[in-house]
Amino acid sequence: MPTIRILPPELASQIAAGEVVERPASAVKELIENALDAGARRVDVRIAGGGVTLLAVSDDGSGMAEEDARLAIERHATSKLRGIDDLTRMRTFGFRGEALPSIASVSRFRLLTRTGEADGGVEITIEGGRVDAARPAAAPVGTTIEVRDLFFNVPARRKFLRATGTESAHVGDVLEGAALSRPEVTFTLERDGRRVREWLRASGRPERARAVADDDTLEECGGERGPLRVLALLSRPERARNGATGLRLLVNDRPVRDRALALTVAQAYGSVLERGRYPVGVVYLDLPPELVDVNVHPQKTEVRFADARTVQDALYGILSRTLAAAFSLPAPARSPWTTARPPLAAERVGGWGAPSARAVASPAQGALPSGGLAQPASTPLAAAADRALAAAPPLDALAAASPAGAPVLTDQVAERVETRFAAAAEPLDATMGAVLRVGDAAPLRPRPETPWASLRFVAQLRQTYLLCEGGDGFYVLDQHAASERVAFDRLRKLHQARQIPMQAMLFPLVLEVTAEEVTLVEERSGDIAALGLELRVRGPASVSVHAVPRLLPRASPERLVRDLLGELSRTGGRAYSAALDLALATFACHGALRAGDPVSAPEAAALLESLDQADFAGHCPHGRPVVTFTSWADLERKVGRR
Amino acid sequence: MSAGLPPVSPPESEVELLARARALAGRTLGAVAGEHGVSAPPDLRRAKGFVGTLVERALGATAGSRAEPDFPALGVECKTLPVDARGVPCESTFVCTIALETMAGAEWEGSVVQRKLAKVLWVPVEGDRRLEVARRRLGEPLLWSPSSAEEAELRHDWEELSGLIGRGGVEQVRGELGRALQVRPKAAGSWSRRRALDAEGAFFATLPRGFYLRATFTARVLQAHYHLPGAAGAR
Repeated sequence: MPTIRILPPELASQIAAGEVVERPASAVKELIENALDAGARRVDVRIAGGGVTLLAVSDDGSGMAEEDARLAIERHATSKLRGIDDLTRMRTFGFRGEALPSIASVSRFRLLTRTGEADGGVEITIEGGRVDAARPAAAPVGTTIEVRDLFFNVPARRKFLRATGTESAHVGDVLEGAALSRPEVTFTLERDGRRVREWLRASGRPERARAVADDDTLEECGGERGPLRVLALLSRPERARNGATGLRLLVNDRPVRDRALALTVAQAYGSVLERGRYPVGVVYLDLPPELVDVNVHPQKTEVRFADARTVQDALYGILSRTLAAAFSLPAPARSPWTTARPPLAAERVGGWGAPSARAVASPAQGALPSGGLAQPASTPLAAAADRALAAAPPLDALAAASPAGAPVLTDQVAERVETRFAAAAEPLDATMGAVLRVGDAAPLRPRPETPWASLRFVAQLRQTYLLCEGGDGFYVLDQHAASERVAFDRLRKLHQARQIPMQAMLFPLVLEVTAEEVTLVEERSGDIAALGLELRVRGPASVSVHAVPRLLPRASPERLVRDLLGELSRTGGRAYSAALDLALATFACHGALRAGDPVSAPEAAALLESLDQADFAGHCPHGRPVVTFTSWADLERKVGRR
Repeated sequence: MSAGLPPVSPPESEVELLARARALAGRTLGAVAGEHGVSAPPDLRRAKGFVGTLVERALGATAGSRAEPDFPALGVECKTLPVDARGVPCESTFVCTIALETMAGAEWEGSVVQRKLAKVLWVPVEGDRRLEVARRRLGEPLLWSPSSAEEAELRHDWEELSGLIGRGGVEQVRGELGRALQVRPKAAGSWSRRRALDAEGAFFATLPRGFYLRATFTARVLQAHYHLPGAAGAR
């Protein structure tokens, strides 16, 4: 008797279910996606016991005829895919034909469905993957799937489920993702008999995003670059959170997890967001399905871009400028490092982020590797050239590809690209003097007619705040944040002019670092010098600090260097401008006044005067508000004089 | 210091001089001395001038103790500056000896002090006496010329002090005179004597004197040009 045997179908399904159905939320996700693919305008979800006892998804979609319903519970049965070419143009959520049989194999499963044309519906019940019964039944048009006792026959997996509340939260999370992807669909969630979420049909993405985030203050911004369209509804920087849990990303309406994209969104805020902090909100990315591979994982929460680096660069380019305008942030720095870096091959042939790029058309689908799309962003530079030749072409050039598939340069396309880039690259007006009202997150618009220097310094409070009097009210400045903002702004302006003056250390400071950091110092010595730091390599794991920026007499050289190397190491080869802003922000922080420092009247006056010179938007470089304002009218109201 | 290895050739330019000095930054006196075939003394009480001579030799200085800058071709004087852990100079800095009998009518322009301080290569050195001499490190060099305010200050002091000496008042010159420059005895021992003029114009023998830069003055120079160890979080 052979020792190798074919597994029984039920067992194979249970094993496969492990990939698709990790927890109740993943089953709900699959079922909602099926509902949406069936054209539902309303999706109702009910759960009990965190989705383990019961999860049910009802939709008013097209429903299934009896024959289709029977097929739907067979493995790899799908209406959405006919051939491998379809895979690269996939617009529906599901296509693998795995979800229903997988769920059915690990639960007590009931499917009730009816098409609009049929007089009656059909009900199929399955227990542990075996069809228990299939009979005609009365049903509304659409499909309802009930899943009870999930994992009843896979106790090992059941053991790994979290508390009921946690599992319910995951279901809510999935529903939010679906609601964001389809604003035109009504979604409801009932938990243990109580309706906990309801999003009625919305007019569009912004309305739905604000409804899901329950936040009307999310700012809408976005734009286009090449074939990438971005729509973002994002919070002000001061509402940022640690970690990206409040930031949702949707690629072609598919909620995805992508750390690099989330990081790019955070980086687009520039220095006002500290490392590790992310805004709250939603970012929609739309691009031709040929340029993104959704078939990376059965749960389809991960995607792979044909050229992830270019997508990230384009996203950064769009958001950094629109966010700067929306939130009066300092305009993003142009890094000399970015320009000094040799252009990626993708940019040479018309990358979406390069202002001087020329679009080149190349075969659209014929050039795609048959097994999937090109490798993601971390591809080394050398491989980028190959990638550029193989990857799908960006932009309208796709449409202009010659039938024979030969690369064609289209001047009209190139011109359109350049025009678009030029518009995106226009500098923003420096916005000055935005302040926050006490107890009000909305900033006042810039009021250049009230220079900071015109305020009268009254007193220092708790050796931390500067109380100042103006004609319209009183201002309380956070002395550290204000001083940090001034230092940051000076540093950045000087850096842009490559003029950060150095100050020699009295004695060189020797630091033990990693071998990678030593390499970084060797490779980036000129760029590091432009930051006002002189570092020399002393050994395989040590560098010495010989000079530091003159503007930062109070900063610890060791902290400056370690923070800089840390930022650069973490950033890797991309978005040096973002790393640079963070490094400069950290520099400024180290060199600024601190809470607890006594500040004299002349020092306070000098600081106010400096704020007038700063590209100041009411935030310190890490995003904290610098100043609060209370008008005399507010004060009078509060004390009952009005 | 013993003769050691052959001397280093003089630098041909300020750039070369500065590059040589920068190459010494962070190195210990022991290591530099070893390279030049000499050994560092156990302490500097009996080896005054060891650090200055060693650094001058390492940089290729030729003037020795003559009344001209250490690098005559470049017009650069080399001064080592012992500093404490906070970057504060430990002592005043000797500039030159004073020709007591010829000070009457001397002018600032062209004076030894003016020529020596016109361009100085400062080389900080760790001055903590608890630290073994051989383990003390050399610091980042600074090629410095006095600002107009500093030069005015030096000139004012020099004219006041040299005027007093020129008028025969050398015995009235005390260490507390002068904000930037001061005059102090400069002698190998109390037996040393130099000729000087008294108020009547008669020669008499007195202790040799020298011009020194006050430590407060050099501290200001360091503060203006260096990131000092005590500066971080000093407020």
